Amino acid sequence: MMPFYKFGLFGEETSLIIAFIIGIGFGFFLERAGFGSSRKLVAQFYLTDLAVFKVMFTGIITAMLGVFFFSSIGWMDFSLVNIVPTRVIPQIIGGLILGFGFVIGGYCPGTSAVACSTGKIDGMFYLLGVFGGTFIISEIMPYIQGFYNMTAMGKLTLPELLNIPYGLLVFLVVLMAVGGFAGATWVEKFMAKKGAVQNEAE
Amino acid sequence: MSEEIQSNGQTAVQSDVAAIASPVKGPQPYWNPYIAGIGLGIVLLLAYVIMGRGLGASGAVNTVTSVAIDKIAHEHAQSNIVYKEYLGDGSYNPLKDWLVFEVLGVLAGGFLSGVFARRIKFTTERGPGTSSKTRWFFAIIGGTMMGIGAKLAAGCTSGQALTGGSILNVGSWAFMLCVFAGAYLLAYFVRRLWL
Amino acid sequence: MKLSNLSLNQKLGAIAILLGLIAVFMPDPMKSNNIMLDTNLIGQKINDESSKINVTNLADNIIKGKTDFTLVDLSSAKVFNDYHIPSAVNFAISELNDDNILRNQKIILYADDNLLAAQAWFLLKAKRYNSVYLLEGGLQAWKQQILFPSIPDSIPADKISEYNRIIEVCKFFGGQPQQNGGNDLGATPSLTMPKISSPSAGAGSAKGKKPKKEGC
Repeated sequence: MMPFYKFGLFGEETSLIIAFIIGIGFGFFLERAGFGSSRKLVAQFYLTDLAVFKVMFTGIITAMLGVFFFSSIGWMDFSLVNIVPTRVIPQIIGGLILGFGFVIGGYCPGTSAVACSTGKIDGMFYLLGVFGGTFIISEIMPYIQGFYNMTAMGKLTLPELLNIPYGLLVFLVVLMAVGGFAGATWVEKFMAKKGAVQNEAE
Repeated sequence: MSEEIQSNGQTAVQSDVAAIASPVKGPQPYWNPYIAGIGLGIVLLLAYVIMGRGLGASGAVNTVTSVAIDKIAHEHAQSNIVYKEYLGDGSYNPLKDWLVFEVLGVLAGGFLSGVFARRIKFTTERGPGTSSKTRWFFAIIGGTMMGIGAKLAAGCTSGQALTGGSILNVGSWAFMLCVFAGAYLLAYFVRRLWL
Repeated sequence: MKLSNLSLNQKLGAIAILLGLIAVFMPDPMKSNNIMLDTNLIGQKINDESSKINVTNLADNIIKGKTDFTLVDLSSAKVFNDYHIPSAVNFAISELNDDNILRNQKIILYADDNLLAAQAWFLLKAKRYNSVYLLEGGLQAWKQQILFPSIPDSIPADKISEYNRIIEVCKFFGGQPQQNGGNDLGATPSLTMPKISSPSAGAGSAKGKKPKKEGC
């Protein structure tokens, strides 16, 4: 029965080793995708290289399909899967700030680790910044508890919120993602042509 | 005529030279993003199957920060709601944390992939019109904002967007949309850094 | 558009959409507070009585300080505060059902008698908890055998050490041995329950120990 850890198949020490191995896989594929490079990451927001969207959403629908099917056929106990509680406003604000930080700094915490391990100095400075920001917000946190817990909705999933069956939503997300991929390909071609035209004109 | 930079960071001229001089050596091109994405998705799925949780990164930063503050200012750390959460009740070593080990793995995995693809190089990624020092400065600024945003949202793109997104967590999707929105909004104003 | 003409990416996209379509018709994993009960396993555990623990064993373990288990008292908070077996923690059945508290720890359940504990045992077993045990006889048996054991007036020679042990255990938990076969617990007002001092270390950490964060 999955998740194995929650059924006591192994202990905490082993889980840390597993964490390391899973981390290796994570870092490996991030780097394979080119996400150790801030220029490639940020190209997403200048519409010239939409790999961030492609990789992220491919990952999402792959894992989403896997979790759904395993749970649906009874191999996985979905109630044991960790769901981070929803707090709408703080998460929206946090997301916006994170987006700003992403395009200013060029990384996100995971990719900055990959960048550091492949020698990117700007990645190292970025990671330093992340520690700094964490420190700042931790110091401020006791004073903004009210804000932090605003619009808390507990553990909430989209199927519950929208009252749509889980399986149907999975299908819709897949459609949206694949449609997005097609759109992304088109956008990249368009931007490449635009760039070529500009280059010829210079 | 501005040089076209290929997606692996080399100019067209450079990669031609590299191809001629040593057809196999030099930075390898990146993988098909969909294949890399599938790989990522499988790793994430394994995390769910084995541990019942997804990936993450900012949590590890929080843990390390809390431990550091605890060493420097123990009383303060113990009385701060955030640090205390990551430090635990003292009955176990807070660094023996799943995310800390996972992030160490990310460092190792990124390095491994970089070695195989010959992409290890001390360099600073920047736009053609910016100096390294400018980039470093803004990298710190960006990272700081990231650290703040990640704690507010209880996660970063790895933890919330990727992980939470795959189990259709409402907060995660809201977060993810806002990350993209925020980045696109600001992109025009900081284009000098990159373009 | 022949299949072979599709690029790799398009093939992947098609596979994804196909899987998504299948998902629409699969059973909904979220509607499962329905669990699959392994009735054979549960029936067997009931049959071979391997889930029962008697009060004497429990008392011995507590005295020896063997705390590889969590003792759960299912009584109401008031009853729990009046008296509970040392090192026990207090959970209502609804609390146990809610989250996955104590899932991978060894749990010994008790309440006043067997009924509530048995119901809780079944519930936890249904949720596929691994090590769940019942204190046979519950608090009543604890009072009868440990706190207020009846010592006969004349003890046969070969049973002297046995009864001495019983008396020792009884005193350890602050009970009073009942001479003259005083069986009628209810009718004897002189029986006072031992006072519970500040919660022992076991109780504190078991309930206070929040499951480790699993965020990102």
